[in-house]
Amino acid sequence: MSARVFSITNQKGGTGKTTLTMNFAAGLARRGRTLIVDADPQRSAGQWSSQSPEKRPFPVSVIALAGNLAREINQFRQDYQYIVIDCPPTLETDTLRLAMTASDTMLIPVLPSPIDLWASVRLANAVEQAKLGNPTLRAYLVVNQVEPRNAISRAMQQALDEFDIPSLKNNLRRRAIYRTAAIEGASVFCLGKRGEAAAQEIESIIKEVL
Amino acid sequence: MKQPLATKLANSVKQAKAQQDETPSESAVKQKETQTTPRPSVPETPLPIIPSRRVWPD
Repeated sequence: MSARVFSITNQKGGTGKTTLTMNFAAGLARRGRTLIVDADPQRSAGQWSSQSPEKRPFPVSVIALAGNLAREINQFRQDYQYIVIDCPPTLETDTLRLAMTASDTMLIPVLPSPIDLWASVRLANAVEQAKLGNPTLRAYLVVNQVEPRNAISRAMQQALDEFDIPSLKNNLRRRAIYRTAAIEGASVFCLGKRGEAAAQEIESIIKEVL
Repeated sequence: MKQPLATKLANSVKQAKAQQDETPSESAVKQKETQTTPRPSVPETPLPIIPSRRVWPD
C-alpha cells in the first residue's frame, strides 16, 4: 500500500484550507486509514483536533511536520491509504514546494471574491513550476463559502475558466456548521442532522477527486 | 455599456495573469542582478553645486 497524498493549499489566508483539510480527511477516513499532516506553523489542524472530547476523538490522527516534508511523508506512505497535508498560506518558504513534490493531488480552496481570485493567479504559476518536477500532480480549484443568491458567487464560473487549473464541479457553501465543527473538534460527518448537508458536499468533492 | 459582473470578474483575472507574466520571477531577477555590472554608488560626474538662496532679506 502506498498512500495517495493530497495537499490543501492556497497562498492566501482565510480561504478555508483547514476546514477543507479536516472534513475532507474525515470523509476519506470512512474509506481507508487516513493521516492529516499539519504543515502550517499556525497549527490550526492540531488545534481543531485537540478540541474533541475524549469520548469522541477526531477520527483522523494529526501530526505536525516541518523540514523536508517530502522525505518525512515518505515514512508514512506504507501505513496509510490517504495522507492530507494542510499547507501554510505562503509561497515564500520551501514547505509548499515540498508539499507539491510529495502530492498526487492539490486542492486549492478559493473564496468567491476578486481578491482571492487574483491571489490564486500566482499560485497557479507555482503549480505549473511544480509539475516540471512532479508531472503526475493534479490540481483543482475548489470554490468555498458559496452563497447561491450572491451575484459574485454566481459570476465565479466564468472567472475560474480563465485559470489553467481546472475547478471542481462541486463546491462548498457558506455554512455555520463548518465553524461549529471546529469548536466541537469534530467533522461535519459526526454532527448528525446538523451536518448532513455539509457532509454531502464534502462527500461529493471526495467522489469527484478519487 | 455596462459589463455583466461575470465578464468584469473574468477580465480582472485576465489582467492579473497578464501582470503576473510581466513581473519577472525572483530567480530571474537574482540572475539578472548577478549578470549586470554593479553601478558605481558615487556618480562619475560631480553633482552641480546649487548655491543657497536667501529667501528673506535681512
